[in-house]
Amino acid sequence: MQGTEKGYLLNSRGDLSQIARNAANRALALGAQEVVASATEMAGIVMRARRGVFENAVREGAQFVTIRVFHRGRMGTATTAALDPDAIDLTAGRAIAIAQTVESDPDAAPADDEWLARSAPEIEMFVPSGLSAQDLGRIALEIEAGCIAEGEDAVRVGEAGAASVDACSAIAIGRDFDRSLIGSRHDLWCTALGERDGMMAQDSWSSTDRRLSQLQSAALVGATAADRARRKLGGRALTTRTCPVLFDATVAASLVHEIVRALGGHAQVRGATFLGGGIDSQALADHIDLLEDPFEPFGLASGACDGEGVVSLRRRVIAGGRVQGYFLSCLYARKLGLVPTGNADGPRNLHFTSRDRAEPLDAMLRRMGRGLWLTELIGGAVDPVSGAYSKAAAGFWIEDGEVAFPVQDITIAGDLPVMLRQIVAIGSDVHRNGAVRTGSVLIERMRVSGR
Amino acid sequence: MSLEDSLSQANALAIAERQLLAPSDLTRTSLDVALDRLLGNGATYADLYFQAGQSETWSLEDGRVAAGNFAISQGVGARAVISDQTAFAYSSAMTPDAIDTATGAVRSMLLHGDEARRAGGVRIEADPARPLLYTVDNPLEGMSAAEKICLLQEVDRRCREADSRIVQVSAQLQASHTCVLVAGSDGCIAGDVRPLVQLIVTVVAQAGSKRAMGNGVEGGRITLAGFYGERLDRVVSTAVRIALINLDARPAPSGVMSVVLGNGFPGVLLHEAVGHGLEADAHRKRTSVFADRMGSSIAAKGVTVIDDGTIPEHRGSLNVDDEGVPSARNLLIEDGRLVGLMQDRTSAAIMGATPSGNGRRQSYAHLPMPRMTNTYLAAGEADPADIVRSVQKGIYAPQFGGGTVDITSGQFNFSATEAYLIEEGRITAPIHGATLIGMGHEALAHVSMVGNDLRLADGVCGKDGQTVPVCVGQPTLRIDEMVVGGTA
Repeated sequence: MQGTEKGYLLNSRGDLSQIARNAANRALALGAQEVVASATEMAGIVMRARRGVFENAVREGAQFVTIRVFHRGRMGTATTAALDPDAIDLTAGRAIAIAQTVESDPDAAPADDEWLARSAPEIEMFVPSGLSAQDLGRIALEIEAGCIAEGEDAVRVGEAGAASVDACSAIAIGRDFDRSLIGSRHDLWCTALGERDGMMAQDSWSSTDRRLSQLQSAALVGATAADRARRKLGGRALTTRTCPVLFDATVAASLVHEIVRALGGHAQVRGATFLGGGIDSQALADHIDLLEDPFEPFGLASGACDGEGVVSLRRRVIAGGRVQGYFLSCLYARKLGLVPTGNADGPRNLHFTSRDRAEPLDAMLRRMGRGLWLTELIGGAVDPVSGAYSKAAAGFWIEDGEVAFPVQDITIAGDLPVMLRQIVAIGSDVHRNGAVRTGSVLIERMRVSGR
Repeated sequence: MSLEDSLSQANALAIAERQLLAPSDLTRTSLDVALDRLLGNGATYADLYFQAGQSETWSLEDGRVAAGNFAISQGVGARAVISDQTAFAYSSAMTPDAIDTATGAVRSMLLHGDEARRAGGVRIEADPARPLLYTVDNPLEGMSAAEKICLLQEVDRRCREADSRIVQVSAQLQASHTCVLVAGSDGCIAGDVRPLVQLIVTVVAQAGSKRAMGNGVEGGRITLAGFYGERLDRVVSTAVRIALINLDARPAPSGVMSVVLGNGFPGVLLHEAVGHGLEADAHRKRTSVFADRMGSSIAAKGVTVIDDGTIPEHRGSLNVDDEGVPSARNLLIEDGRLVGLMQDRTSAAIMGATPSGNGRRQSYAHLPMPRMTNTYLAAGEADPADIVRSVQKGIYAPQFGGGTVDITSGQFNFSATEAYLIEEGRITAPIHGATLIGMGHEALAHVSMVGNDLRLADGVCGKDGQTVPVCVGQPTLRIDEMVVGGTA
């Protein structure tokens, strides 16, 4: 067990592994046939500044133990925030009682032994900042100063924040599988409000990394938020029309999330998916790839195994627009007669790319020529079965490859199965948004509703 | 224990003290010591928030209840406030040592070294004799596990029997029981015991190769026994109807048109379009499009909007809010004019207003802020059938999935899960994929008819990463101009 350093955590990695192991052993001693236990702690400091002072200072700290037991296809799960032995016994007892009550699902069981990540490599993700509340507060004030300097009198700060959080999670399965992972995450963010002629516009910017050294500077985070808020001022609606839409790299990840949901085990088993054509079906334009890489050092969604202990895979999910695999937990893998993909907790780091030459944003805008550059998705809905897509949106109207004016108060609509086949290009302006990296995505045409 | 007329706020406090303080040997005296420590670095207000609860979820899929979840949550949050600055720490342990650590962390984060002084003004405390709004009974215990499973199987059977095209049913029964105690540095101490249950049903209908989904949700601050009867009938019939309707739905139109919103959950429009913009923190920070509009007209005449945390057994109701302030019926818009805001203690102190019972937090691990409870547009006089008949060409939308708002620009949106075309005053073809958008400060100005059929429905409200249970509501409404974002 490496690493005695705890960062903001109260428990060491070794402590949490021991807590998870004890919980698994107690559940087995109390009569569970099979058990998956986990112990998790997250801790950190979040500082928010506004108008030159700290608006709030928060010391985060949460811990919990989850015990899942199985009795011949019957599953019970119980969670406790109290970690004393009595609470662990009560929790194990409740999980067992649930498993004895519910009906049987033959596919509900812990991971088969050969699926477990017994030898997967350790991934480096833990770089605690060691920053105090005062240090983080100072950074938050620098972000605010950067925003005001860039925005001058037209822009003020809604909130400037700096956070540093460490988290550790340990799992224990059956009598002899134990793994843990520990990571840190540092965030700087700023929300800016632009105001002109009695109209207000708000936008934000953030920088997130597992290493403090890789974050954008505080001043740049503030200045970018100010710039984004100011450029939205004077936004107006479009008349209703059909036109090409360029999803900016900062919002294009939402398309990838729709693909992930549609290829998830739950959606596939239920038939509640617009990507129901099966493995090797042509679901996207033929130049598109989607790569999943769980082993990226310091990746925001890296992990050697998932919460079921299943080993992670580096793989192509989409190749040349064709579906190569799903996102599966043990339960849904068994229901589909497949092997789990290590995605019980969601997707790992994803790269959404085109085999064609990737061009920078300005070239993508020129390529679109006349259309909507979409920079903000505000809400709306996607029907998971049909893929009918309708969202409130904002952005910029583009004429001759150049920004003509900011656009707000519109919706964009289409059918995802059609939209994904109509992806014309993916830009080289790659942006990381949590698990997803993608450049801007140009879609041939969508319906824009306005006034 | 059962709900009797005699149960009052004093009983809730007694239960909270017994459940939250006694097991850790905490007394009111030890709370006073901790609060003094919190005030020590110059804070003007401090509070401790204790919370313990249990929750349970039973899930049905493929006709089987093969999974159940149980969770124990507990913890204490410690907060100190100087004007608009807050320091906050929390712990999932509730021992005196853990409280010392949390209060120490709060002190170390407060940079001001001013002389400690107690907050002035009126002490706000719940009347100990005020009757409770919901049962103190634990909804996890009123029904055996086998009975809960039976309830879900009944849902499955009824959905499938309702129509042979229903090919899949999933259902979730959630129940929680939470006990909270708030102790403030102004001497306020209050307790609340909150049951919350919800039944969520999702069905898939199939005809040929076409598939469509439908959802229904019912719940409240009730025991599980309250599900049988009307609530069960409604949740099944709603989910089945929406799925079947959507089998035949055609793409929604696009552009500006007249919209008739059905009663109940379509009140999410009001929640998004103006509700969030009337939370006081957005006014003191001037981030709301409604800032500085107090007293002026922001909606059509005849539009009256109320946030009421005192409706018995409703999902958004509270005996006291999460700052110990008794819940209230607050008039926000009266006949089109903005007359009130939703306040927590921090915003009220800065704005010189009175806390309105809207200080809410997701849990002990979150800071309270002004939030809605049960927010609705009051009934008018129009017959809902006449409202539909009044529209030549437009859409009728009786069910929605949810919505969001940008309070700064006022731009809001919400998505219909059940909608129809209106042609020459008659409801005709069902449509799918309709997202409605508008500007909060304009939408209510376009309300031209208000129905007489007010109904409230359950929702979940998210703000700054925290979710709390609420109700939204309205009668049938006609809005003359809205942007409908379909593909046709």
